[in-house]
Amino acid sequence: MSNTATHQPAAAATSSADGLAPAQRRRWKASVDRFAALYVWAVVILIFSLWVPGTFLTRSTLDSIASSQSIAAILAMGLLVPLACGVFDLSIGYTLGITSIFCSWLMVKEDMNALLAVALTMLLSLAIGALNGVIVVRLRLSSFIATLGTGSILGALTVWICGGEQIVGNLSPAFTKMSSASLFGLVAPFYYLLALCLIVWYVLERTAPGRFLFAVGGNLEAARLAGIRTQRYMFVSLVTSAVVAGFGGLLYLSTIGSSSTTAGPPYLFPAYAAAFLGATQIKPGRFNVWGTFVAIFLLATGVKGLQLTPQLASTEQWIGDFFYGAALILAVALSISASHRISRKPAGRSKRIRSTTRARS
Amino acid sequence: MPTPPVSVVPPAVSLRNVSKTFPGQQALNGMAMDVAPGRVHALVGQNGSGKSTLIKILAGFHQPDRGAVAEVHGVPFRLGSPAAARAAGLRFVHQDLGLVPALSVLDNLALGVGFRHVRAGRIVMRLEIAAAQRAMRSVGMEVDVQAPAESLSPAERTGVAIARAVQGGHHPVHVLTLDEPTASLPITEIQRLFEIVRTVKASGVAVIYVSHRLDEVLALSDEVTVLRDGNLIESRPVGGLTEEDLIAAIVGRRVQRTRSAPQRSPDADPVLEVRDLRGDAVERVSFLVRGGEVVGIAGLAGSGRDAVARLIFGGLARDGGEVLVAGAPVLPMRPDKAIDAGMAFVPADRRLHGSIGSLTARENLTLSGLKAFSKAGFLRLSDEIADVERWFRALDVRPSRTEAAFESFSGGNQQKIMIAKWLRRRPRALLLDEPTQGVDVATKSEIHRLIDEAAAAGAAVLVSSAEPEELARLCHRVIVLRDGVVAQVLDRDTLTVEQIVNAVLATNSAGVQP
Repeated sequence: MSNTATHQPAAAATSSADGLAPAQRRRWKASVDRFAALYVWAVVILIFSLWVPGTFLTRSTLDSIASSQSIAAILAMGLLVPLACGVFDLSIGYTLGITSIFCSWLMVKEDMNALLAVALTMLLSLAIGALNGVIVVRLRLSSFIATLGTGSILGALTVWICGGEQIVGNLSPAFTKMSSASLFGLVAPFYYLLALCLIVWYVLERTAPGRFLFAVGGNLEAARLAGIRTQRYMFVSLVTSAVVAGFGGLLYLSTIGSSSTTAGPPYLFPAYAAAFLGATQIKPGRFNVWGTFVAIFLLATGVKGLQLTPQLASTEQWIGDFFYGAALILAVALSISASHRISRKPAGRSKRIRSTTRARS
Repeated sequence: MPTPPVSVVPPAVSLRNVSKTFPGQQALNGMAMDVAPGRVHALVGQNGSGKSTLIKILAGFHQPDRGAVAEVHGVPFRLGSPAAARAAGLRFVHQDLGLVPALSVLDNLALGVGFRHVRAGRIVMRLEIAAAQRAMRSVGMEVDVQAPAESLSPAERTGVAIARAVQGGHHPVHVLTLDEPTASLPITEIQRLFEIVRTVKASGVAVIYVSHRLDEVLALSDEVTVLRDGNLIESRPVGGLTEEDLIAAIVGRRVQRTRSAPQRSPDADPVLEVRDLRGDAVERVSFLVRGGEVVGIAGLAGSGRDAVARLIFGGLARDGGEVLVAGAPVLPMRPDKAIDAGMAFVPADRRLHGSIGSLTARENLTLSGLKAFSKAGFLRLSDEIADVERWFRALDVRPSRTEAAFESFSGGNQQKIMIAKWLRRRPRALLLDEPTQGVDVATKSEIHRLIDEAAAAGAAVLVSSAEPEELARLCHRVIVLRDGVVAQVLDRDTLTVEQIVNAVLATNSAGVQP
């Protein structure tokens, strides 16, 4: 195949006529929607800065959001991979839970060397991902059902490992350093997040396998007929989300210093809310890294601000769940109405949302 | 109102001066037709002859042009309204039947009309079962009405759809239209369906029978109406007609359009070799395609025509047989291997099998060959965009917005992108299934030119199409399938539209070549 780039002057000439390449022109038109989350984020920050200036506009708020949300954001980045290829992984929260318990059990109860414990924990997450993958690809269950089931099993095993109690004990300093180290005033997990964002962005947007993931998520049979090994991509995507969740488990343990049976599940929902809200931003209609990144910190800022307002202080427990639930519904509703506007055909529904919510056999 | 003479039975349905004009096209022109009660009246004609338009006007989906007159048993009724058609006693069974496979026969019968025996909100099953059994007996069938519809044979399922259509309800049923009821039936089941149709006919209902299979038309119907290019050609009793007469009426003496001669003669060596291919509706098909040769696949719906390319490429599971490209076998159900071997496949159903609607036009166009732009795992987007822009210009895709969502393009431009997706791989064997379905005339001739060029560049091309004109225009050779086997092969000397139509519609197997 010859793809000499020499035969393109005509297009270059026409696009330079108004100084914009066609793609840029399109981006300009859509920009009102594409960066809405950024504007909303700015507004949220402004509102809370005026409402509770004493507590909101502080260094500790920034630190708390950056460190506590890094784990949730890392989970969301891992989740983007299966979502891009039309596969759900509902077990990531439980995977985070069981890996953090497993690692603390190895180190505290079994007195294992930290490095070995970390290696075994990562192997466990790999095995969980492979199990999800086998169930979805070989047994042909819908990923929704499969990972709902494995999630429940992982939750049960988490309780079994620790006997229902918190595992408390001294972790090795090297292990806690993994999360407590800081650079330019920001904690290490935030840098892990940035690194992961770059990797996931690179793979999804700049490599052939990333393109194929979106193709599989968009139309499974058409992707297969284009020569893509669809099952392989579905399998690998589930392994990816599980391994990333395993890494999240390690970070959780390292940050908190202990783990409990209730550690993991609360991370599931923010990850989904951020991924879906992110799919309406930056690159609308597609699960994407930077949209998700903005979404998770927008949501976290909102939740944190509400928790800091004295009037709502007593409601700290439920405000987060409420906020994330509303955000998820709003995000999906937005993307559906956006695709209505984009689509020329009146009957056009959101392909992306349909394809990702489709139970796949 | 004057009463008609007792001796004259008014037709169950009578149509006069029914025309339909679509923008730029006269689909139906002054159609007239009388169908007597208790008779089977066949409606035949090629694709595009106006059959479907007529049926849709009867069913109320299309509004006819002004001046159309329709009567049921001498009583005028308004064409173009589904409710009026239903109230007049017209019923329709379409090819896809509209049954819910997992529901019981009884439940399927109740779809649309509801349950009849309800006491205080509860369905009285005993009475419903008896009523369902009566409904099935009225079409001559004894089945377990509580069994799911999917457990029945194909002909029995058609029977359930017919029983549902003719069961009374609020309006007595006068006319039943069956639209290609045998297209998806195995031959062994056709007699069973005939019995059902004869039972319905015996009850006094008029049956309009739409079919491409002329042997069925001759065996089952009492009258036949032939349409061609929207015009009524003839309407007459079937007695004394032969298949040859019917084919002549269907095809007419049409002016043979000049065919652009294929630009080169095929190479000596076969590129694509298919041996004893089996799977889906294909029973046993073997053929060779040489480099530079365009081979067509013709046949009616259900003949296996639409399955051959998918079986070869790996879109459908093979039950047996071998596919070789340049002498090397290609694994079944492995499109990736087929592509590696140099095959390309443009499917008939673009939305389902061809395109990824959520990706951009560029991403769709390059999906089957991203390697060209990969360097050390990194996609060089500028190269990719340049290549796609080149293809957009070469194929005149409009608008030339490579980054627009694929779904935002018109059907013809979408099809061009789908073809470019494979042409840019320079395939050795190019398979196309209905390559110009639903595209406008200008795009159609452009696509034909692209196919000519691919063959001229040395590719072995296989085109399956329901359009004889397309095959006559494109092919060196046409393989005619019937009931999953090769019924006839037409080469250069015999390749005319008439010959293709003849071979496709003919039911005797005189022309069989091994």
